[in-house]
Amino acid sequence: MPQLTPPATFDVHFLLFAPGLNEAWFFRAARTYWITFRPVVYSMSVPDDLALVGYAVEKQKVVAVTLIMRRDTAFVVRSAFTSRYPDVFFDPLVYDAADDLALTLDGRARLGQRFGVPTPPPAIEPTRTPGPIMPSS
Amino acid sequence: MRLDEYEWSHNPRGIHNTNVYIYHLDRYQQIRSGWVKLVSAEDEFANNIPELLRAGITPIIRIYRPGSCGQPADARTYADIRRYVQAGARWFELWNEPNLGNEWPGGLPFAIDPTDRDNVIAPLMTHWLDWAERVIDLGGYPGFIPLAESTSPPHAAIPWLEAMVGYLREAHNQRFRAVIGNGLWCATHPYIYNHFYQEMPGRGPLSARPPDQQNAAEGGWHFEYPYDPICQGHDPGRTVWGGTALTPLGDPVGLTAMGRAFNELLGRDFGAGAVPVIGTEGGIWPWPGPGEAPRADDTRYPGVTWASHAEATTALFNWIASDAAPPWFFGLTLWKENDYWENPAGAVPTVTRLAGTSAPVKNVPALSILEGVEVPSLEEMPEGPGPVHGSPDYHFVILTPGLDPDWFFQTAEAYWARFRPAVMDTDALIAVLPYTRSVAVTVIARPDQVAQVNAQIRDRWPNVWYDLVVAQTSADLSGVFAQRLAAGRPFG
Repeated sequence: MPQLTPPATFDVHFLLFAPGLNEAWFFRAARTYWITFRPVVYSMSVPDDLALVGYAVEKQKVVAVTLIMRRDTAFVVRSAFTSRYPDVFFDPLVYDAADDLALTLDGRARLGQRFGVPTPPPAIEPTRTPGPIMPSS
Repeated sequence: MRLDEYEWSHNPRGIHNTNVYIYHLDRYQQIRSGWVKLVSAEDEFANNIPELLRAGITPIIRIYRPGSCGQPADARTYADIRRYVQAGARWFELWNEPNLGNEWPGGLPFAIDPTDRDNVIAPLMTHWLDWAERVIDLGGYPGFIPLAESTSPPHAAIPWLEAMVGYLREAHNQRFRAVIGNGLWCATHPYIYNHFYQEMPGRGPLSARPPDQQNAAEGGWHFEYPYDPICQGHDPGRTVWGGTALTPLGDPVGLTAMGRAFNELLGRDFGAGAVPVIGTEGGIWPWPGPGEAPRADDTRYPGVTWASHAEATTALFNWIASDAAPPWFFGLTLWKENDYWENPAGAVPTVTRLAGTSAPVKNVPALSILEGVEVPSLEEMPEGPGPVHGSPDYHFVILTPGLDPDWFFQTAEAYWARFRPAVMDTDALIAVLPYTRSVAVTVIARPDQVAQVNAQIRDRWPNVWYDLVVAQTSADLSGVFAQRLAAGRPFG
């Protein structure tokens, strides 16, 4: 099963564009989102063009993937991803128009929600109580 | 990998095609061939690979790039190899006989000299190693570059071989070790003249039948030159390395000689066993026409005639499959198809003799190639991406922190639409790429960031194709992208 809870921290956040999406989906719909969150943008050439994600996973990086798809290709692209990387946090966005995607992504940017939900705060290591300070001799 | 794990027909007979685009399956089947060497301009034989494999014939593909020694493999070469691998081919060659000047680019600014490490050996072997790793990654077996079997300086093959392997040992030890253990084989060119003989029945190992009495169906053949009794009786102690006053630069002119030298170097320098060796040009060559006197280039041995060539060549293949031959010698592709079928006197008798004789089968023992030696896998290669071969596998555009990202969104839309680079604001992704992948990185930076990004990317990752774009305004950036679009090039 793909991971549905956003990781509190991650090493790489990919914003993948499924095959067939033109530049408007990135340069218009995702512009504010990218400027806000700075994900790694990658335009897939075929539905299983996922090797770049794989290299990060193989290097034990904590990876999150937002995958933009149109309805006509969503099943194939989603299947290719989830079958290969079931342990990676997966944030699928299926829209048939770039303008509709823009509403969602701009909203996320406005709310500071990278994955559309409040991101859990990272676990904080309690500050240690200072120990006794040895006087210098 | 073990010696018996290589995929091939186990039939040592082979033939070299006439030239690029020329292919005759009927001829290869007529002589019951187990190998065919196909010199290929591009991927013109890819559709023929399945029928060759069904016919029990293993193809060896040499992508033909004349005069390319010391040059990197081009992107088209890799595309062609990929296509051939998908069709079922495994065995590949690229460069040819670097100890001859005509195999180097025209206008060579230096002499062909194996002691010239910087100008000759380093570029030759660095590009070969890049190519070999890539061939393995694509699913093929890379062939070590064959040398012309000369004994005259500066072409003498043994000093060249020592320089080539020595450079790999010193400059790229781990990388070459990984190639040895993951599919390496050695291509040789044994044009053996008359360096063979058949004993006379009951007359002992120094006796030699005259050519008209030779018979492939009978025993007593010697193809182990220079280790055969006649050579050793004449010049005791001679080896492929020389070792006698008569052979100051070695004696590589035997069927298995250069392969033996190569495998001995692998054993000495890398603790390796043996990798397969295939003669991808050569044979009993030259030989006279019908009715001409026997040709004896080496007068210690009987000559070769138009008719005896058929017996000896048939016997040569039987010998390769026998216990007398080293287990790593997998066969020979005779030079070459048109000489055998399009001779002025018609098809040579050798064709008929081979056609009428069952093909031998070579059994290969399960010998470990690097027994007891740790073989680094290609995944254990140096951290980060490998060198770019022709064109990179990935193209990253990195917007440096501090650069206004709106500049990019205002100016790069058409550029991105055309070239589709990955876009990011960090260099962290470079480190996750494996050595088997290459990347070009376009860094967009302000003038005051140049020193920092040079250190962070260019100096840290020498294999990266580093493409720095310095912009003080969005107009600067707009100009760069427009220029690249006009030129059809994603990089500067």
